[in-house]
Amino acid sequence: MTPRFHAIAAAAIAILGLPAAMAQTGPEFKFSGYGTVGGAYSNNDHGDFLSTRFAPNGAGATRSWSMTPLTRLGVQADAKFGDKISAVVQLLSQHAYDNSFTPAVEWANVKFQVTPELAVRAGRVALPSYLISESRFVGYTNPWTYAPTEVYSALALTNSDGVDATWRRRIGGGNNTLAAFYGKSKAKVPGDAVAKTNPSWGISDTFEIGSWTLRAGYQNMKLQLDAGSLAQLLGGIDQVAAGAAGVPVPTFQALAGKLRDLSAKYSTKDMAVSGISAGLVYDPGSWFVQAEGVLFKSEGLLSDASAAYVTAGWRFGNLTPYATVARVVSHVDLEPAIDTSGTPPLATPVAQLVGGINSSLRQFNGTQTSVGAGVRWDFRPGMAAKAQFERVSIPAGSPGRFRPATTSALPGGSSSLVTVALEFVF
Amino acid sequence: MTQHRLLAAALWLAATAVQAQIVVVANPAAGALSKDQVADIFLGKDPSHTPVDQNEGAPIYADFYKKATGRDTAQVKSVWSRIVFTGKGQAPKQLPDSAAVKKAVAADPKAVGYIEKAAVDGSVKVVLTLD
Repeated sequence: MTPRFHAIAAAAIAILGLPAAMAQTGPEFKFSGYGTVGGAYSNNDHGDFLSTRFAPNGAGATRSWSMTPLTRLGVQADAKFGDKISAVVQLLSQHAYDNSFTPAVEWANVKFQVTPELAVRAGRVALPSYLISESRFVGYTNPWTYAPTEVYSALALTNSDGVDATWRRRIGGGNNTLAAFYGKSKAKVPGDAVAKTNPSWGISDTFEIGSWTLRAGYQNMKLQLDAGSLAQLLGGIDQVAAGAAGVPVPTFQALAGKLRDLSAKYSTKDMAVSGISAGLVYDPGSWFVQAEGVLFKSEGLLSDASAAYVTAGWRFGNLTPYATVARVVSHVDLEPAIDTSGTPPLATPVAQLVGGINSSLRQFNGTQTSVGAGVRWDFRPGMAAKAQFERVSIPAGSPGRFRPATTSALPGGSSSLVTVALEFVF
Repeated sequence: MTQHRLLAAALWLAATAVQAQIVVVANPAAGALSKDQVADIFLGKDPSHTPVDQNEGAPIYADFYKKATGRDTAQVKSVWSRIVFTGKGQAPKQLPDSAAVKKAVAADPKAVGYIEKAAVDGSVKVVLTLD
């Protein structure tokens, strides 16, 4: 356990303990948990399949079979202090940025039920970007072995430190939940990098009526990516710009200006990212369909993206076969070459730096399409087994949702992905 | 032969008794509920009432959920797991028998439970009959 983890755990315990002093009656505690023991096989030679963007490796190029992408364990403690105040702490162990399974505090918040309809939470809460953001890792509650990465990795951060409010009321025979959040997030990324948002905020509305669930949401954030390789690339551009600026010749001056613009365009600080999402579930019991679409707009190295999936399943006793089609398209605009005919000594470094930007743009290109089918077997209460097969197609120049094995070769192509999972809740 | 027939008839009667006669009960002060409302309450979609459950292993549990919500035990488990692990709430308390359900419902004006029709008495009000 890292010192940081100790600090968060201590804070979590403090959060759980504090309202105890205020409670009229003794607190009620409840412990529960969820987990998956899973395996993944991929024959993609150019990248690794991951179920979150934060894992350093998975199944594919590094090794064909891997248990790391799907295997995880979450434990949750709920405490209720009378009718108004409750608290929750959830610890989650899954394949993390540092190749370990060190547990992290996924949630730690206190909820205040202001009125029967309005609740406010403070602390670490789930980042509600999607239809099943909050239960994306609880395989047992989901149709698939993992939430479709086409949509769920578009914005991979899962929690937010701040506040949220939900207003739940009956409207026209249905149940409407309007929610808003404000906070900041921080996540370590493999390769000594950190992704931070400050601030991020969003609103969403979920309407449940009969067999239908409909959701729409909007999210907005300032994102910062601290990565050594990107800092080096941008530093290189600034350095060449400064060098060119020092030469009192108009062509060099003009080049310096272009390079400064390039560096500013791809700054990894305060990138404005926004997303809109819409999702629906129709589940009358004997079959279901679930679909979701997201549109992301972003500055800098992260390209705009649109993603969607549709899943349908049929329940035959304790067997549920299902099929999914999912697609994400990143709208990548590669940088054109900069004219260096009037600045011959800088031709090579400038070409290299523009190449570096384009290489980074490709790394963040997620474009892929997957078509798959699977079956869920509810073989005993609280436990399910699933097997899923997918064909994933990736165009040249994109690693898709796989973590690329090398930075240069992105030939694209089709590969097979098999995932099996034993999922449980307790 | 006669004995077999009697036994079969008795089993059939017992089976239909368990299968057919479930009533949804609430506090005597409560109004009637529709089947859709009961389904919403027991699938965590309607916070205006507090569902009171029977033991997951009891035959009436599976029978109730099938009739009221069209879902089997595993689906119900999945629905409530999602609610618990989204921090939205807790699964209903599972009480050991219909007597305990009646007691809980009689004591709480917001509580809704389900019991065998034969177990109904004056302490609770039948708000819906499930066939």
